[in-house]
Amino acid sequence: MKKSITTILITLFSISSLLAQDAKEIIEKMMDQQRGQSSYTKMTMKVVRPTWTRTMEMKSWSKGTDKYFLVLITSPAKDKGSASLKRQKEMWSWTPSIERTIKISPSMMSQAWMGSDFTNDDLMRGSSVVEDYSHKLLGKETVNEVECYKIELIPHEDAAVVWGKVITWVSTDGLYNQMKVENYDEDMYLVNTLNNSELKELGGRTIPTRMEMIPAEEEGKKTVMIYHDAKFNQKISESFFTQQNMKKVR
Amino acid sequence: MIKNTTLFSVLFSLLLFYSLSTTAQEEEKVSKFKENFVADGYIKYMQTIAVQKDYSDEWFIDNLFHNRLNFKYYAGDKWTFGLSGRNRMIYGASPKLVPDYQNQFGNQDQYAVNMSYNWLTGESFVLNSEIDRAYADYSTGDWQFRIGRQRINWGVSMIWNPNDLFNTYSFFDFDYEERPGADAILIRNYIGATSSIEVVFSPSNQFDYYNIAGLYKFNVWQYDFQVLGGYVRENYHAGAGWEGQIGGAGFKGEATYFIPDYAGEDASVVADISLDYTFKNSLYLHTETIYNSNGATSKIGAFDPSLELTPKTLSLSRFAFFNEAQYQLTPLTRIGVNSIINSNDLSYYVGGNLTTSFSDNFELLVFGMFFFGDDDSLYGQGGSQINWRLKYSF
Repeated sequence: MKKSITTILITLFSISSLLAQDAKEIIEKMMDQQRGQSSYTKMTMKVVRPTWTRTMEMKSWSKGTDKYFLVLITSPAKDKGSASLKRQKEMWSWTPSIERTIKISPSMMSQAWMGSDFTNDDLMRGSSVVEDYSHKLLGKETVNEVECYKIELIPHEDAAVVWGKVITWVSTDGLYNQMKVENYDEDMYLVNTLNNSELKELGGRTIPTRMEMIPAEEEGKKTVMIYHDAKFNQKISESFFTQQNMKKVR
Repeated sequence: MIKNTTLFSVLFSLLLFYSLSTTAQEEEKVSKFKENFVADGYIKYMQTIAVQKDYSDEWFIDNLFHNRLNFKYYAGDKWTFGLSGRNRMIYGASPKLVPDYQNQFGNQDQYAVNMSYNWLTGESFVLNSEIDRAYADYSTGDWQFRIGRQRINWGVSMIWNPNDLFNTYSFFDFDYEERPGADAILIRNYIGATSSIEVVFSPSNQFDYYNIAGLYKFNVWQYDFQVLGGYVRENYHAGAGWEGQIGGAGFKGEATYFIPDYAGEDASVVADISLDYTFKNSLYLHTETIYNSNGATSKIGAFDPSLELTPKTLSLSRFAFFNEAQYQLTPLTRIGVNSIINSNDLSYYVGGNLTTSFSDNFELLVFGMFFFGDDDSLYGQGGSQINWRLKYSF
C-alpha cells in the first residue's frame, strides 16, 4: 500500500513536471513558428472604432525570437520613415525629419503603439514570453476550429512585464501557431483579447495572417493586423539591427 | 539672387520630371528611378490670434500658408541626395506692424550660404521660399560622409539642448517641426551597434569664421552617453550628455562648458536635466530644468526676439523650469498643458495644446500661449496668442 502511494506520488510529480516542461517547450516552439531564427514581415494595421478607422503600413525584421527587432513605418505620409529598434533589453526610436534618436523608457512600453490597441510591448516584445514568465499547461481547447493547448503564463516577480497574467492558445497540429491570447492586468481583470485567424502559407509556413486585438468591454473597438508578406530563417546579420541601419533602412 | 533662382528652377524641374516621368518611354529605367526617388511633404494653414498684455480689444491676426517639400534620391547603395524646403506666405498683422519683418521672416543668417528668397513682399504680406536641407551623403561600411545643409542633432533632452552646438532651436518655434539645419561637413564612424564617433566642420555666416567639433556616443549599463568638444562661434566647448532610465522613468541630461576665445566674457556652463514618466492610462508627465551659470539672477527686461539663439542663450535666466502633462484623450486626440518659469524675475509662460486627427493624413493643432510677469520681466510683454493649424501630409 505504502509502496503504491509512493509510486502514485512519484508518477504524479513526474507528470506535473513533464507538463510544466511541455508548456515552456510549447511556448518556445510557438515563438520559433512566429519568428524563426530570423523573420521579415510586411503588414497593414487598421485601428477600428465605431465612427472611424486609421490605416498604417509597416515592415519589420527580427533575429532570435526576441533579441533583435526593427520596425519601419511606410505609411501614412506623416509617419513614413519612423523606425524603432530593439536590441536585447534596450529600445530606441528614430524620427527622420529632425534626425533624432530617442531612447524608449520602460514606462513607455505599456503605451499604445501608434494609437492602436497593441502596446509597444506587444509589438516590440519588450518582455520575453519564454524567459520572463513561468508556464503552466491548463489543457486543450478548440479555437476557431483549431485544437489548441491552453497555457497560462505568470510573470516572474522581478520581470519588467506589462501584464499580471497571460493565457495563450497554441495549435496542437504540430505547427505551434498562436491562435488566441488573453491579457490580464495585475488585478486579474481581462484587458484585451488577441484572435488570430486566416491561416495561409506565407514565406513557406502556414501561419495566421490576420490578428485582431480587441479591448475588453469596449464594443466596436479593435485593431486588425494583416500580414501581406513574410520570410523566415533568411540570413540576416546582427549588424542589421544597429542605430546606423535604423536610420537608413527602407 | 541669380543663385537662388537657379536653385529653385532645379527644385521645380525635379518635381516636374517626377510628375511627367510616368509617360516616359524607358519604362524600366523610370520605374527604377521612381523606386529610388522619394518625394513627400505637407500643406499647412495656421492662424495666429494675438492680444496684448492688457487685453485691449485690438486683435492681431496672422495667416500663414505653408507648403513643405522633401526630396530624396537613393543613387545606388552608397549615395543619397536630400533636398527639402518650404514655401510660406504670411499675411496679416506681423508683416504690417513688426519693423523689418520682410527681412526677418525667411532669415538664414545662421547659415553660411543664403538659400532663402522673398518672391513677393507687400505692406502686409511676405511670400518666401527657403531650403533647409540640401546634402549629398556617402555611406560605406561603418563610415558616413555627409556634405551640405543638414541637421546636426546632438541634443538628447526634449526642450533645451546645450549639446546642440550647430543648429539650436527654440521651444516657441513649434510650427517649425523639422527644425533648422547647418551648412556642414559631417564625418561619422559607427564603431558599434549603439556607438559612434563623428566630426563636424561648419563655416559660419558668410564664411566669417569656422566651427569644428567632435562627438563620441557610447552605450553602457543600458545608458546612452555622449561627450563632445570643439571650437564653435569663437568659443571652446566641452560637453556631455546621457539618456537612460530610473525605475520606469526616462532620465536625460546634457551640459556644455564654454570658454570664450575673446576678452570681456567669463567662461560659463549651461546644463539641463529631464525626467519623464508615462502612466498606464497614457498620462505623460515631464519636468525639465536648465541652468545657465551666466544667467541673470535679477530683472533684465523683456526678451529680445532678434537675439541669436545659441546653446548659451537657451535660457537668459539663471534657472528656467519646464513642466508638462500630456494625455491621450482618444486614439485621435491628445491634449496637454505646459509651462516655463524663469527664476530671475519669476515671469512665466503657460501653454495648452490639442491635436486631433481627421483622417490618416489630415490633422488639427490648437496651441494657446500665455505669458505673464511684471512689465520689465522676460515674458511680461508677451501677451497671449491662440494658434490653430490644419495640416495635410502627402
